[in-house]
Amino acid sequence: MFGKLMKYEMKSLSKGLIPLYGAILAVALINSIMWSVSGNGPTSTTSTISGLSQLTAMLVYFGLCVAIAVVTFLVVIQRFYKGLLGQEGYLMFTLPVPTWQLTLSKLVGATIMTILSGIVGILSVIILGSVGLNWGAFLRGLGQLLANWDLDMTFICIELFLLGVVGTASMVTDIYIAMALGHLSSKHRVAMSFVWFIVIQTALSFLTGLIGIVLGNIPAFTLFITNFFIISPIIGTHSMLWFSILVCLVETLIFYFGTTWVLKNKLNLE
Amino acid sequence: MEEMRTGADFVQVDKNVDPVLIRLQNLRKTYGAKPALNGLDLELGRGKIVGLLGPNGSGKTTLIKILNGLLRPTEGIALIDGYAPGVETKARVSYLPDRMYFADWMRACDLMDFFSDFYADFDRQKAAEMFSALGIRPTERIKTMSKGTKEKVQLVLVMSRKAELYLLDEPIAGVDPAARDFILSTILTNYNEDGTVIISTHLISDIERVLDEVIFLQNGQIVRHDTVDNIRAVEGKSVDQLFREVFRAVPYQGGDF
Repeated sequence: MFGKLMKYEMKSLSKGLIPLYGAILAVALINSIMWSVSGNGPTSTTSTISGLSQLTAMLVYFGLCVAIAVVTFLVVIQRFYKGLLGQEGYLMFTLPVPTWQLTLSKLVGATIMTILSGIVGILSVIILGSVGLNWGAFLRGLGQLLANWDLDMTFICIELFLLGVVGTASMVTDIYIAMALGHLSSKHRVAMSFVWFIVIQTALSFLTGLIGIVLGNIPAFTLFITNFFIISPIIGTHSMLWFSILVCLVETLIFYFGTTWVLKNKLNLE
Repeated sequence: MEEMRTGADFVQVDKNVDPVLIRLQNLRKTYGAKPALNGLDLELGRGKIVGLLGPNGSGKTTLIKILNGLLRPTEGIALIDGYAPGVETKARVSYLPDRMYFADWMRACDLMDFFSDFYADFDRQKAAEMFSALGIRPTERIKTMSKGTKEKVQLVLVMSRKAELYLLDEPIAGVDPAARDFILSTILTNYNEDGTVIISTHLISDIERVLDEVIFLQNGQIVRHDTVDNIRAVEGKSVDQLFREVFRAVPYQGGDF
């Protein structure tokens, strides 16, 4: 059943986002073609006209990134709010599937689409940036990087990827738990979701700060960490990444199970 | 599979089945301090069409939501086929809410895919036939349909399941008399005859002729549960007349709670 839920979730998410991806990549491609035809790449600064085109390029970069981020954010919220807490909830919560599968399908779908949005954003910037690029230097740099490639770099890439996934999932569950708690109010549910989001974020930064201060005041701990980096920066980097992954994972799990618990036991659709 | 199930098998199966489909014991639901259901006790059999009757705010929708697992009772027990509302019961209950519940992007055929995917008892061919009788094309998008057509689509999907329990929340509220006839005849010609249909409404005269039993709900309490034949024989009046008498005093009791 979970596979079927995922199928519909991905279908539903793609309806909103795939056309946007296409549009953004097309805009990036058109711009980069126009620049290469006119000879004014975003990195040339020889005249006023190219200066202007550089400014335009910056604005387009910025616009694209904002558009992708905002739309992804809105679609993730909307798929959860409309899809579970709105009228569609009457369909979804009467399906013969357990609640944890409903919330998990939303979480997995939202995480995949957010990462896809990030990839499309990076791709569009690469397409735009490729106009004024010195390909020779770029390929040389790439060659050097690959020549010095070692197992540690592979692991760091894997760790960064994992951090990207659980980091995204933790942001998504931050939003889900706020909406789940907001829906418990009898009135102003959207506003209450915002309030909950702010409360939870404040509590999280307070907690992070508090842990930082407490650990920072334990000399043995700071000594341990410093020595870690002095002895081996590589091991230090690995442990920092794994620590971040663990923190994001714990946050994701707490908020995911919290959201599921609220929707299973306290569900009250409008 | 179907051919192997002979009539004799059905009789034998039926004998082992608990004749009670729905069992409520001291069922309560409060929203904050406000009680919506105030200790319901009820046993409801199989193969019946039951009217859940009461004025607005009497607890009809709350009871239906508890039975299909959209709400948790505050206290007491609700069982369908011996199960508390959950995954097992949702597979057997076909629910028509009092609102639209589709995703905007779906077409009629997407909805049939969706129901086929999630409900083993969904008869896709039956749904397709009813859609074509209504002139609804499979590729038609739900978004572009009129409100009346959307309601019909939803009813067709709900009634194309061979469910053990149909929970129909206000299926005839806010529609014209012609649509009302269509809805009632769709329900009557398509429901699984071994299953029970619960129709909640405050428009009794329109559905009285199809009902076997009625439940009167008032202020979150069952004030009467009887067969329609019994009411006619004992009271010498129609259910509609009885309903008007029972609920006539409602406005004057407003200050009681």
